[in-house]
Order: sequence, then structure tokens, then C-alpha cells
Amino acid sequence: MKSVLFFNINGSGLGHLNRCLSYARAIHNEANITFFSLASATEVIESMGFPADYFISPFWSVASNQDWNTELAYRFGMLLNSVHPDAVIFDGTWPFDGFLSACADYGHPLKKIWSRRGLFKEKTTTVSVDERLFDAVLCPGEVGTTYAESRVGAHTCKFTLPPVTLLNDAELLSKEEARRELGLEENGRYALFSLGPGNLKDVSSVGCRLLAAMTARGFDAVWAQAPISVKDVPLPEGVRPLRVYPLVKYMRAFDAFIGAAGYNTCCEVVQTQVPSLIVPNTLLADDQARRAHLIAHYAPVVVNACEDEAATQKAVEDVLHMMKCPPTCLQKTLLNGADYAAQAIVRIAEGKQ
Amino acid sequence: MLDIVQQTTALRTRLRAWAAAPDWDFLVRYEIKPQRFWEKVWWSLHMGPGRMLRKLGLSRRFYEEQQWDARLKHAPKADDAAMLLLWNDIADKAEAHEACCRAHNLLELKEHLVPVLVTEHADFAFYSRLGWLVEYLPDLRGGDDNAPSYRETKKRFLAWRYRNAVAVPLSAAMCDAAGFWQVVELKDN
Repeated sequence: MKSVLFFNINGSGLGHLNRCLSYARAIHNEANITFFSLASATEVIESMGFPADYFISPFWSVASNQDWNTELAYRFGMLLNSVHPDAVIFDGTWPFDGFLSACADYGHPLKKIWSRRGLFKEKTTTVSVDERLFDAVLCPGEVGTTYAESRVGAHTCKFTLPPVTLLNDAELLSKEEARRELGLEENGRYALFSLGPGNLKDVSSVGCRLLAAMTARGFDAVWAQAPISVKDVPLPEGVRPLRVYPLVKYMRAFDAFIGAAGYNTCCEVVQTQVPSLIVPNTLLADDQARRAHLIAHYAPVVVNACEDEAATQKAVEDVLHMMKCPPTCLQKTLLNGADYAAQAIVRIAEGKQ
Repeated sequence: MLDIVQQTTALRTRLRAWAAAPDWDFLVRYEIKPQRFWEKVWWSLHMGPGRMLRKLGLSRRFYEEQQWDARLKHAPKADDAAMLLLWNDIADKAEAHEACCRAHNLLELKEHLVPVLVTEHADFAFYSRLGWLVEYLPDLRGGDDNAPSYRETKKRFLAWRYRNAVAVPLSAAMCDAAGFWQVVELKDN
């Protein structure tokens, strides 16, 4: 059995980790899997049955870029020496020098695969990294993307994937099951809020406006607390905190969902079809506004940045209207990117390029 | 049963012994090197001779002078703050959690101390909110049964990396404040 090592960076949410877990779950019968995580959520990885080590993210560390990469090369090298992987999958925006250096110094055959999600804002400075440093590139697509294979140079395979989700449909709880597990009333009216960990943008002000608007219309509010938050958003009285993983498993418990437009959240809204208000986070390089408008073709979604009180009230009214009159012409899409990724990873690890 | 002062002394003695004998071959092997062509050329010209000395074991200063700043961006500390290594010695996860809470209360306003927690317990949703750098010691099973375990290897590396830190057992936080500060300020022989 091949040994596969996942390296996930720490982003504004758990997207990179979620994606690696999606791949890992899809290949766990065909490979021994280990994680090297820069996301401070190691128990999440272990709870899914995969061993993991953790190293502080450069986004959290005060260390200089050079010092952090120097340290990363040692830490990752230590794990390579212990795990002896056949393939390493890096999920991140750009591969760190310390990562590439450790892979080069490992001294045994090692296939390098880069999981590289797209959809950045047009004016974002693109980081020039040669994809040919890798044996393969996985490109998890947005909703509507279909599988394709191509090549970069002579030796690098590029796999364009349909959207990647952590759980398959059969693993999601029904509304009744999810409410029972979460201790929610069978006939209650609940809205779930998941506006991100708040590490990059203070989500509390827009969150407070939305909480007030939804509770004023008779919803009980439940606020999802991300495992990687460095502080908890202070919640108004009556708002229930919720700390579960993966959140998507329980999403159908809710009558409405209010969340940011991260890759995983958007895929999960499409997967669960819960009526949603998507609030794009405009401070990220990720083009959340574009993604949010894209998924509106596939799921009952209202998109609104809710930057002020008037916009917030309109957004909430639009969601209520949508709940009464659901859109009738939504498109279908496949969300099985992890299965294709698994086939590609095994193929590359076995040297069948 | 050892009291907390004896435990602290024993911990520091063990860490000093590990730190005195780092795996130089490992440090030489995984010393960071550029991967892009022109950077490699520049690096070979400028760093090549020193690298040769290090490979031959004739120079260690390069590694001894490497900097590692344990401060976190979301938990500001003084520029000249000293590292405080909280080495977990509590087997029970809930008790270790409690000790971390107590240590956090004791250290919260101490601008001159940067806590680093070394632990075998995965409790990261909690750690994220402490504002400490966390060094995790996972139980990874490697392929070679005769090789030292990953956890042991990492412990020794951390002992070397944090060789200038003040080390205390996490259980010191279960003492009262005076007892905790007594072991933090305990002078080594």
C-alpha cells in the first residue's frame, strides 16, 4: 500500500484542510495517510482517523519569512524521514520554499502533487510558481466544472476537477436527524450563521446586524464557531453557539443559512440546498463575490455583502421571500471532485503518469 | 513523588542533555536551499564554501545562530520577551486543559514572556484561543520499527530548538501563583 502525506496550509477558514480531508477519505482504502497541517485543527484530522502533525502557520507566526521557511524545512523533513511517503499533496496558494527544499532533500523517490484552487480576483497579484516543480496539479473547480486532463510541459499532469466536498450526500443528516443530534426543537425555526473564524476580518458587526434582523423575524439564531478562531465573537443573549465538525453534516437542520462565500461553504450550500444568504468577504484575494453569484444558479441563494443596515434588511427580506417562493429553474451539478482526485493521486503515487 | 521544584530540575536536566546532542546530520541535510535555477546558482556561489564546511562537520555556528521567534501576530509581546517552555507532563487531557487555563491566567499580562506549549494532547480549538505557540507531539507510527519514534525525535529537536527558553512542567500551573513563579524563576545549577 502506498504512503501519502498531505500538507495543508492555514487560510482564512478550513478550506485547505477540508479539501485534503476530502481527498484522504476518498483514498483511505488504497493508501496509508498522514497529515502535516498548518491549520490549528489537528483534532479534526485525528477524529477522521488520520494521524497528523502541526506546525505554526506563517500567517500566525511573527518569525521572518526566511526563518519560518528554515524551520519548516526541518519540521517537514523530520516527518518525511518518519513516514517515508510515496507522494506528498500540497494544498495551498503557493508552495513554500521550506516545503520544496525538504522534498528535494528527502533523498528518496517522491511524487509531488499541488492542489491549487483558482478563482482569485482579477486584480490580485498572481504568484508565479512553476507548476512543473510538481508531478501533478489538481485544480478543484467551482460549481459547474467538469473533469478534464491536460499537461504542463512534458512531465506534469494537470487534473481539472468538479467541486470537491468533504461528505457525500448519504452522509448528510436529514432535517429531523440533525435537529435531534443538535438538541433543536422539531418544529422550531432556526437560522445558522457561519461567517468565518473572524481571524482575517472582524465579522462581528455584520454578524450582529444579521442576527438582529433574523431574530426580529422569528428565527432562533445558531452561531457556528470555527475550530481555528483565535477568539470567540461575543454573542448576544439567546444566540446559541455551535461547535461541530463537519458543519455540513448538520446543515439541513436549519431553515436558513447565512455564511461567507468560501469555496467549501458554497459547495456545501449547493449540496444541501438550504435557503441561504451568502455574504461575500471582500477583504480576501479569493473572488468570493463571483463565486456567490455563480452558485445562485445552482442553489436557493441570495447574495448581499450587507455592508449597512438597509442592505442587511433587504437581504433578509429577499431570503424570506425566497423561502416562500423557491427558485424553480436551478441547474444541477456534480460534486464528486474528490473521487477524481483520488484516482489521480493513486495513479501518480504509483508512477503511472 | 517528586515535588514541583524537583520535577522542574529533572525536566531541565533532560532537555539540556537532548539539546547538547542535536542530530547534526539531519540539520545539515534539511538546511533550506533554493529550488529555482538562478537562485540555486547564486546560492552555490555564495553559500557553497560554508556549506562544504558544514557537511564536513567543521562548522556548526550557522545552525546555532538560526533565529526562531515564537511570538504570534494575534498575541503581541515585547520584542525582547523570553520564551517560556510549558512542557506538558499531565497525562489526562482534561487536567492538562485545566492547567493551561491556569497558566493562561497567570501569564496573560506578562509582556516579557512568550509561552510555548509542548504537548501530546490534541486540543487545538482550545489552544487557538490561548495565544500561545503550540508544539504538538503526535503518536505517528513510522515504517521502521527499529528507528526512534517520531515523537522521541521531535522531542529532542524541540529541546535543541528551545534550548535558550526557560522550561517548566505544565503541572507547575496547578500550584498557586507563588509556587508557579518560584519554578519559572528557579535558577539552574
